Amino acid sequence: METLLIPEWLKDGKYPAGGSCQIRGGFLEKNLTAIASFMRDIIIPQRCALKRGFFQGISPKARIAGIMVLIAGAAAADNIFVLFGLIFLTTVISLFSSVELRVFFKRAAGPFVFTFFAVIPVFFDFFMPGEAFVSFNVFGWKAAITYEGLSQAGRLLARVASIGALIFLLQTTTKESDIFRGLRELRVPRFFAASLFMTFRYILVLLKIVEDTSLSRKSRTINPSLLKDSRKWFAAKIGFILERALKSSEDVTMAMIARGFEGDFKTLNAEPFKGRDYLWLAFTFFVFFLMLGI
Amino acid sequence: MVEEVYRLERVSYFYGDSAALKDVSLNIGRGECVSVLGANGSGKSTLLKILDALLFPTSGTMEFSGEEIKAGSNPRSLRETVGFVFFEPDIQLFCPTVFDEVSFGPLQLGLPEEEVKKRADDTISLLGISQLKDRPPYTLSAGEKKKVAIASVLSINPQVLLLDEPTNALDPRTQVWLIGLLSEFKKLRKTCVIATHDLSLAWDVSERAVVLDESHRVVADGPSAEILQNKGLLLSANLIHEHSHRHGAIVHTHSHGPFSVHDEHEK
Repeated sequence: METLLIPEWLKDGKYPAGGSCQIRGGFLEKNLTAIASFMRDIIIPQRCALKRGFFQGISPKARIAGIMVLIAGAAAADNIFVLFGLIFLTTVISLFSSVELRVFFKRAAGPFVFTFFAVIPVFFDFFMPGEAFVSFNVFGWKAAITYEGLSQAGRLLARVASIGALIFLLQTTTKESDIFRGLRELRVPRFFAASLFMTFRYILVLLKIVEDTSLSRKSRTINPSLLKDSRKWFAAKIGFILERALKSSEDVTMAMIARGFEGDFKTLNAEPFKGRDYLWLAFTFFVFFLMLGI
Repeated sequence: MVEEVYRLERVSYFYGDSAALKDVSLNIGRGECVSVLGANGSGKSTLLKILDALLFPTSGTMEFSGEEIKAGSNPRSLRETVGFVFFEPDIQLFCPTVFDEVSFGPLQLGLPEEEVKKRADDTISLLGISQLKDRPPYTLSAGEKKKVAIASVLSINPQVLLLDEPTNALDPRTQVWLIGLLSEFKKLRKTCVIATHDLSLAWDVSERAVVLDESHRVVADGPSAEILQNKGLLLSANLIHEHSHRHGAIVHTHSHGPFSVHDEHEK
């Protein structure tokens, strides 16, 4: 048998001197892991979807249709109290659907906080002139927060929070597969629903690649990496991930063709609506017209 | 005379400049179970993709049931007859649930809905995966994924089954289950082509073996029993390797791999 020539340095059996110095994770690595974990939380079906509850008892397509109607109402409503009413209604439905309120508020707060920072300029008179609510003078620079600005920003924030809460309710109480089946049953073009599903499906595959790549780098990192180096590494990895994505899409197409796919995504037909589905839809339309009327 | 399913004449395939297959000539008869053996990168997977008309020969010809398969064609008769279990189940499983996955093939072939549901239910219970029916495939273990991948192909009732490294990443119990399943197919006179470097699988299920070596050519084609005893051939095709070690005064030399040819003990 062939003898392996082990280099001298590889024969060195010394362990490094003790010390429990911690290596801080790099900024990019930490964020990548956090984003991957957040995306997985969003995409992977929640345990809640398997529990018994008010919303889980409605068929997926009625759930999706009803939520769409309420979102349309939230987009059209102009009264901030109506929007708060919608948030309250969503919270009540969540309570009766075994959704943990702590998780509900935490998740719904995400888009709210993001939008809050985006609309900060709207509070001020230089963006939204009007009657001053609070005025201040900073080193000779005069500015004021106006009632009009507060009102506009408040409406936008309430709208974002209500839509975020509705989407979270749907996502957390409905299995991912039911969301896509529901979309197909609502006559959303099959190819669109299938593409959407496969996009979500491959986001998970890509997240796994991103995480594994990041972990393998971490396992070989001794000194904390500089942000500049991390950025370079990340840019290179984006290319690698894109390449993997292209290869995966090619392979998936082959797997589909191998099983008879000829361009039209054929699916089983939907089950018809039941009584409670009609009731739910009637209720959402009632709320929709109520929101427009107030 | 055995009815011919595949006839390949001097088939070569290139990925850009790099060769995957060179001058492969092969006939496969109905009801045969053939193992395509070769080391990593020898062209086994490419050969299976050509047999399923997913890739087309760069040169040479491929006939399926007497009909030449030309570049760019997607023959319906082949799709209805041939099932392909891919190497990576993750690639093959793209539907929202296991049930959707198993019903995908029959639906695309235009079978009536009742028949599709019956086939999906029957196949799921045949493979003992009823408890996974509503689960998204990506949440399953490797063994479960492989079972779903096989179920998704069986539901189209293929007369020809192409399997790419079917025992890869399977635990021993699932491997034994798979061997049992393939043995049942043989009894049903289904044609099986298995690309593998797992020699014990080839020994257990196939009566014929085709060996591709690292030059991407067929170097042997014959009864599995003969080919799997030909140590020189297996060594040259990198399917086994030789290894010596010492037990006290005894030097023990034997071939190594997933399957071993035990023939030497030296003092």
